Amino acid sequence: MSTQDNPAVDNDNSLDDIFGSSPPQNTLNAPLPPTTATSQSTEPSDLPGLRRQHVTAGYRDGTSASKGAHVQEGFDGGFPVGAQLGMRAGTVLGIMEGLLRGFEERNGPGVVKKPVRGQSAVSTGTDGATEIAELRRQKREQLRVLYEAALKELDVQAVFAEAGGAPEIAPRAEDGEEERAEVQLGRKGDVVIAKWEGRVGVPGWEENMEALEMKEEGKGGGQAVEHS
Amino acid sequence: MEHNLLDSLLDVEEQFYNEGYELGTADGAATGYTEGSVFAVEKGFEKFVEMGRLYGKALVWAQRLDMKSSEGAAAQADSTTGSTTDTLSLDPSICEDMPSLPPHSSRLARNLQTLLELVDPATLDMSNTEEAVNDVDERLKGAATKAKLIQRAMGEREDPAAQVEPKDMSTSGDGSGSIEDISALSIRH
Repeated sequence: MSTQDNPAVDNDNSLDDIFGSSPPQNTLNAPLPPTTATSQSTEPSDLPGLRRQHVTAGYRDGTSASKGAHVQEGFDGGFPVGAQLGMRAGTVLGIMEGLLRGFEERNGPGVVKKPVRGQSAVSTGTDGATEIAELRRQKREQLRVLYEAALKELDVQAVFAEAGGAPEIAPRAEDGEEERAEVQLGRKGDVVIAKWEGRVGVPGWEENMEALEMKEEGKGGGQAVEHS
Repeated sequence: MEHNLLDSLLDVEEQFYNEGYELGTADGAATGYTEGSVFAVEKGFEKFVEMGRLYGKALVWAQRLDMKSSEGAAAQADSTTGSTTDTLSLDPSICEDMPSLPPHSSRLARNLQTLLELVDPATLDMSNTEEAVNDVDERLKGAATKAKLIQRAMGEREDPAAQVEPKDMSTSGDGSGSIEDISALSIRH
């Protein structure tokens, strides 16, 4: 690495030489010279200054080199965590959306075909019919309120900022086992989502689904009563 | 002696630089990882929330369809059991209180079956590989289409906003999570 050895010069000059040409790495961050220029001529005692300068340069290079390389790694690590939580949150919302729609009286194109059979099966009399309609209206209203609350709480920003305010991610891994960002976020998200899963009873829907599927497979015909 | 001094000075510079470089590498790795991770958690969430929505809806439809086929039993069992309690129960049995489905063809059941297969969480690869991401995109698209058909057959009104449609895919990048995407986001640390 020693650039040109200049045996003929005295001590001071040779020092100038060294600082003047400086290690090749520094050429990346060009504007270093000013400090060197003044410090070099003084004494070797400016070691702290020299140290700071080179450490800083190294730090800068090191950060930018390794940061870029690790962003992708972080993305790959974080994506499945977010996906998993998103799927769960979406399921909660989807069930509620499905229920809301289910309680709406049909008046769209679907009704044109006059569902005579369906209608008569539900209502046992005119009184009963209005009563049921009222009941449905109430449920729909309750559902709507609940759904709106869920929409708010299960928003991507809200889910991960659960603890109030922006999530605090410690970006440093100094003391070895710092938790990774997605682990922290995952835990925050889980709390909120689990609460809603409980409210909506997701497991119940899924179990039911499995039961229906099994029934489908062994479709013998008249076993409709099987589900309670 | 003089030579030693020269060498050691050069060494010192390099040593300082390396010292900094190492520190920077460690810090850069941590911040880089965190930035990528936070970004990806959000992106993954946003994409799969749509998938989950369709899955949730499909669960409800399946329930209703099943009830329809066993209509006689369900209707007479408790068409008027409306829970009067304050907390609304969202148990699947809630579907019994819904208006019954319009007449429909067997195609409805088949479409629903397909939809359920497309959005089945157990078969979705949620990793950020190109293959997985493409597969998810494709299934999401197919599922949205099926959902629309089912919705129509069920006599439900169309979504006012395109809730059922997959959100604009362009926002989720190309799945490669390229670093260029990062700068535009609000990364919070």
